[in-house]
Amino acid sequence: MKKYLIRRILILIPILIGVSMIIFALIEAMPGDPYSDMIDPTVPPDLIEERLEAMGYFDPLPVRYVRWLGRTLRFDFGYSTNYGAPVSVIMLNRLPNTLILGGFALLFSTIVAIPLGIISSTRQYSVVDYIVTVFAFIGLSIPAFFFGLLMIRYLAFELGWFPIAGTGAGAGYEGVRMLLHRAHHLVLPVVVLSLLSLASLMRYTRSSMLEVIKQDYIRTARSKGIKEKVIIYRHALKNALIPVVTVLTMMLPSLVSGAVLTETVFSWPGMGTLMIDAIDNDDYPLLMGITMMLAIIIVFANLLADILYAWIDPRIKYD
Amino acid sequence: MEDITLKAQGIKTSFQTSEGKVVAVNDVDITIREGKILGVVGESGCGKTVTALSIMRLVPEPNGKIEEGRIEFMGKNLLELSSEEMRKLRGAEISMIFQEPMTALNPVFSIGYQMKEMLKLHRGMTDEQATERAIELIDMVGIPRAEKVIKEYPHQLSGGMRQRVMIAMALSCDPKFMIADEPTTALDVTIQAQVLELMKDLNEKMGTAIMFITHDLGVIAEMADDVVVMYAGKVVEESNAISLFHEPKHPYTMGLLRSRPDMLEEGEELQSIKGMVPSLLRMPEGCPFNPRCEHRMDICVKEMPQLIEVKPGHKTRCWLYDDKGGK
Repeated sequence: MKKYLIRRILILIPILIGVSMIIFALIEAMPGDPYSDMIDPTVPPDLIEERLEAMGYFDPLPVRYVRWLGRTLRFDFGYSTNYGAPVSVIMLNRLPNTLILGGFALLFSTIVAIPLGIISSTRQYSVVDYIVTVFAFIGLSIPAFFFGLLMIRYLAFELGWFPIAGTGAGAGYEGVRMLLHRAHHLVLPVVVLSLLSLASLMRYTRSSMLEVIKQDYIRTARSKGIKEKVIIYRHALKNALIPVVTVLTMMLPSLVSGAVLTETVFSWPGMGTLMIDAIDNDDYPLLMGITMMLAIIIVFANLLADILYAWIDPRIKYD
Repeated sequence: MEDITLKAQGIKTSFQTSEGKVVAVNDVDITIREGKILGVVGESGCGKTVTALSIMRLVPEPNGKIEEGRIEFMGKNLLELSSEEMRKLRGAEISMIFQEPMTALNPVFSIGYQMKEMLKLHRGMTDEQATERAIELIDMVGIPRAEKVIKEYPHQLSGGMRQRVMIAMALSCDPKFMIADEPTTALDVTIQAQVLELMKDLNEKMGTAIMFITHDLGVIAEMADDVVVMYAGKVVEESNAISLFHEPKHPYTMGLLRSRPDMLEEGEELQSIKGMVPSLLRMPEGCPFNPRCEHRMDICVKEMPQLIEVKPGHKTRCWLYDDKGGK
């Protein structure tokens, strides 16, 4: 296992280099230059060209790639042309908001989805199963922005139970009061963001459990006189979790990338909205920073999935 | 009167399928004498396994249902116990091993965990006591380096080893009665012999009564004291092993005996029973064996024969031996 881990981490290096090349090439292919949005059109083109020349814009592609990579390794993603601040600072400003929102959404959907999936699988075709299934299909088919707007319209606007938008960070409260205030702002975005992952996670748990419950070793457990609860929550669940772990780890990158739609609907200043801004404004350095960070997270989420498999399933050996 | 470990009477178990209700086990009586081995023989689909699952009360719900019958065990009728009372009996007093050792153990728990779990549950052992007992049991079923094996996972063991583990597990709480559902069918021939020998050995040593289900008459000859032959959900012949092999009564049993390659003289042709086991959905009228029977009479296609005693301790369900059948 240790050997496998080391090998697996070493493989990450060429993967990340490859990814960085692709990102660099894609952004390179986008039209416009960093100044096309920044500078007054009356500035003479000669001057712009001179400035671009000075910052190495016309250097050959490999030279620019190596220069960018060298800086990136030092966590220097350059200077955002739109925000006028270092990319790393902007990202670090936005990341906590996204992590809070995404983290709670993931936690909430896992805590709700897995038990619901188990219940609906152990009582297949019962009333509970049908209710849960119908909600899951609603969750899978309703677009997040629409559901978000419904929530805002009824729960926030008409009933006034929750704030309409924002993170609640600027209220100037302190201590417990601040925590409560922010938690209050978090409820609706978390519910909206959880909806889709909750529904799909629940369906995965259900079908995986149904598959496992049919297995011979569950019958063996019954013939041993094991309590039904132990059979379901230990013998069956541990086997059923293997595919569920895949789905869970695949949700991790979106935790960091942010949810563009949910963040937009709730004016939540996270990574999702930041990325849209970067694209809109030809903010290459920022866009490259975000994309690169995403790539790293995805690669590590895969690694995490592999580690979790080996931990849950002793049959998986990586030597 | 000999001591009876388990006496099942008139078990009727049916399944609800998409094509209608199917009676898999119909009015089956099973008696297991204390410390003895009862062999249950029959072709696939004759209701052997369903009979076993009915005794364990593990007929898959909600489609399967034990409709009638009485299963007397330790002075109780198992069919009247609450599911919690029945659960406490399973593993402790009645255990079962299955046909497929490759899938019968849970792949994500170690052998030790799966064994200790039962000992802790039924015998209230501490972890150390259970570990010690598990090692003892693994050793008893002839697996070397028991201390290591309990830390291993099912996939690290061969099929024969897994079946030994299943046997060790089934016997771990000293049950009075064990059901073995074709325990050697999935194993290599050489391993089969070893596992059979082990079971016979443990039966003698521990005095556990065994209901041994198989389709292999050779295995029955080697293992069983008593034999029940089943066909299409019914018992067609019941006797002690010696009497059955020497004087088979039912045409089906005779056919089974004739279709065994190892009972042939040189130059003799191997025979088989013509036709197929009828589908449970389309049972023939009268005796279910009549379409394949070479002694078929008029009454066979009209009426189901009764299980009658043709000589002491030897019963069969065939019109050939019934006065009403005209013989």
